[in-house]
Amino acid sequence: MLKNKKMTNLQNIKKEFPIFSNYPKLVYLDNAATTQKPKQVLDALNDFYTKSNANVHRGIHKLSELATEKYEEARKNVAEFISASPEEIIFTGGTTDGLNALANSLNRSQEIFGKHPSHANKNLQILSSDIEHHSNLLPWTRLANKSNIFFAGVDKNYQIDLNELEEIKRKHRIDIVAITMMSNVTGTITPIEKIRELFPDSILIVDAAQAIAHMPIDVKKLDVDFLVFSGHKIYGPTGIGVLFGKRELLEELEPIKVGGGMISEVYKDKSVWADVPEKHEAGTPPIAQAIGLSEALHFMKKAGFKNIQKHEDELRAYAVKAFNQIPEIELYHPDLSTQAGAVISFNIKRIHGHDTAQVLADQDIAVRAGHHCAQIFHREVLEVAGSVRASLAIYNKPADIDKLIKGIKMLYISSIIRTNIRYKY
Amino acid sequence: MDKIYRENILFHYKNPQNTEKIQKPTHSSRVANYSCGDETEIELKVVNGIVKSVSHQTRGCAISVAGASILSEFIEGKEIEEIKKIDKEKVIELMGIEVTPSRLKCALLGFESLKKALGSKL
Repeated sequence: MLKNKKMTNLQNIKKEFPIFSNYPKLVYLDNAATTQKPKQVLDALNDFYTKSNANVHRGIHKLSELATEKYEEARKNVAEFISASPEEIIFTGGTTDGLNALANSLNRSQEIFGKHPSHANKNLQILSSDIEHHSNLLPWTRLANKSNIFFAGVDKNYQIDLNELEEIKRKHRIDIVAITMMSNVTGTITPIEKIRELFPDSILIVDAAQAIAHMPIDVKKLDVDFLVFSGHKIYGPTGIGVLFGKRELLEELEPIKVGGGMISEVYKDKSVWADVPEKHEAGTPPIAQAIGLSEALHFMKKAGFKNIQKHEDELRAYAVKAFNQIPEIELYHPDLSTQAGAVISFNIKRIHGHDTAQVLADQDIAVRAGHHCAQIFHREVLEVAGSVRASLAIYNKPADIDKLIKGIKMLYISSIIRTNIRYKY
Repeated sequence: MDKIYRENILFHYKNPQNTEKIQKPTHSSRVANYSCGDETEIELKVVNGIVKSVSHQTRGCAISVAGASILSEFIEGKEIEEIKKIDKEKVIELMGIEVTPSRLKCALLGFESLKKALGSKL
């Protein structure tokens, strides 16, 4: 098939995002929080509501059949995107929703761990890391008591320390490994294959909320048991997420929710669940959002991960080099020789992150300041209360970085909001 | 930038007022905004229903430090009953700036701490 050059040219891709026509001056660098939406996703949502809106499954009427067809098509497309089978795709409300549901349900499905040769008692032992987002931390800290959860530290490149993992492995039985694939603060990428090698018998759960939009993911190759992500961080709508699970595990797992649409037989004293994936999708699912997400994945495929990765990596290098020119910047990003996502967090010496973000906001530059839902990482690894984060996406350009750097320099040189306080814990 | 970083805000940020700890305070509190790590500690010495002295140690952004500093100046020498009538709007008015919703927590950090201190009695 001939490749349409225009289609893979990311130079013009910004035009496909209506938000930038509405705000031509906007420099949007808050993509790790949420991405903007291309027109084709918005059109797909509108199309669904104007031409196919009905509830899915069991409707005999035409619209319901059409809605079901589109919803299941979306599932198939999501499955293809991560090299899974459609029945291994559960639609959720988002990453947080998926991880909470999974934690609760695993806790109710201890027979999964009973097969583990060394699982002697009922206390699940969990491995996590110091770089997790709270959404992949709190569901596990709530599940395990303090003595049953272990945290791997990070090295100077903010990469999960494999030596520490080995040590934890030597000392403890690990039932669940819950780990991020890409940090939402430093962009660090976790070597999932190596973690799988280290923990071949543990349930491996991967938080791909950040990774999903920035690198190809093949769940078969990675051999992960569960993987979760959100639609809104990959140019899709909010309110939709994906929980991938290996088929046999989803079959063994207690339903993550119960209610309408997930049973085959119901009695007062017992019920028989439907087959996967319906078994885990109680209630009316986010139908339009699933269709919107599917359209976002079409958009991604058209852009191509090769192009996206090249583009974002070039931008990342451009930004990091520019940051390194400013002595007043404390950068929290891996060496450029280390593979990482284009998430760049920093502080300007003696200027509070909120003040930095505010002054940048006044110049139409959208960044985020705070702990980015990673308090442990900021407190224990960076030893700062918070940081300012610029996170890049497909539509960003070197000119955006130039504006950011100019804004930062202005802020520093003018020194108007500099203080002598050092924001250390 | 002019809207929020007015001269008086920057003055108070760089020269926060009433930062010296007071001897034998009658009221005190510490309030933190965990979303950004900002923190303020307020101490009051109330004699016969009047705030004789006030002290605050605020660690935070320009808006939170200035907010606490301006408020501390305002309450010094005033009657407790009068201070209890201060509301959020009054604090913003004293600061004399337009505060966006995302910065409201910063601006009111000192005020939250003051309210908590008034409820405490050492």
